[in-house]
Amino acid sequence: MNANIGETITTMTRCVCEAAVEVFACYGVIVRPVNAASHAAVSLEPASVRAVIGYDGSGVRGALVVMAPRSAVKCWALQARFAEEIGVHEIVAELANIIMGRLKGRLLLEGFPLLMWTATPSSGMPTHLVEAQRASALANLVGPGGHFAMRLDAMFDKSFALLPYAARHSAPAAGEVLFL
Amino acid sequence: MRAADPRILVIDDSMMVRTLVGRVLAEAGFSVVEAKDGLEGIQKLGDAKDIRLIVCDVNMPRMNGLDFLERLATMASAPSVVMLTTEGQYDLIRRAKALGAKGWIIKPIKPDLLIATVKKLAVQAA
Repeated sequence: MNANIGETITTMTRCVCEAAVEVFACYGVIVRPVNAASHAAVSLEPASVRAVIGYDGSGVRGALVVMAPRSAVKCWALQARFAEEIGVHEIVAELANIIMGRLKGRLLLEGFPLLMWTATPSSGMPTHLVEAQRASALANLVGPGGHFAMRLDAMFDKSFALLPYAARHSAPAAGEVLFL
Repeated sequence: MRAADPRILVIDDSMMVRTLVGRVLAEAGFSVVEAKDGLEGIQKLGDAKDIRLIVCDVNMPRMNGLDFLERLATMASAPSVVMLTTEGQYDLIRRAKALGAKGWIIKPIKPDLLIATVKKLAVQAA
């Protein structure tokens, strides 16, 4: 494997935090990272919601998990002025989808060969996300309504290697408009 | 008699996106019609003949945004389309352009830019 996995996980964690802060800010919700823990088990209060989005890349695949207390999601909804009929599960699922999009652009720029993701988020009410049996980048964040977490799990093939610098291209910015 | 507000068709499988974009456009003086995927978008185009512009997601079930563009290309006098998506891959953008899309907006939206874009393309289409 032609990559330092420890450095890669550090990069993944930073990108997850940056993508989350950016996306939430676009909706007028201010969140910030609390700490970048190396362990990957997450526990939240029983009344939580979750979204999981799988992804695939060259030599790597995994999933992004977003977990938040229902009370926190309701605070986000109030600040972002989401319509009342939109449920907490829909909010977390869509936020996870958009965060994944922004995360992909950041990871590609770092040479992480993420090609596509499966936008089939699920939601539920877990109390505990077990430690993954593979590499994980855990981002603990805090915003209105309290703490929440995002974890980017990755399984690397032996063939995994970061993209060469010449192949790394920046993605369009959030909200950017391209006239075709 | 006041002229009718320009009508915009918003196609996205996320209700959150449809309601958010719909609210932004309604507050800017547009009339909004919603569809949750490309197939429903085709149906809504058949029901409402005065749609000025379409704002369309890319990744949707049943019929995605690019397939929707292909279907639209077979229809006479179809409205212009601007894509609204998390995707930023330039090969997708090139493909959408080749299929006739007039714009590509990266989610999450910036309301002012969305409104300016829709106004620009809706006026061009008028």
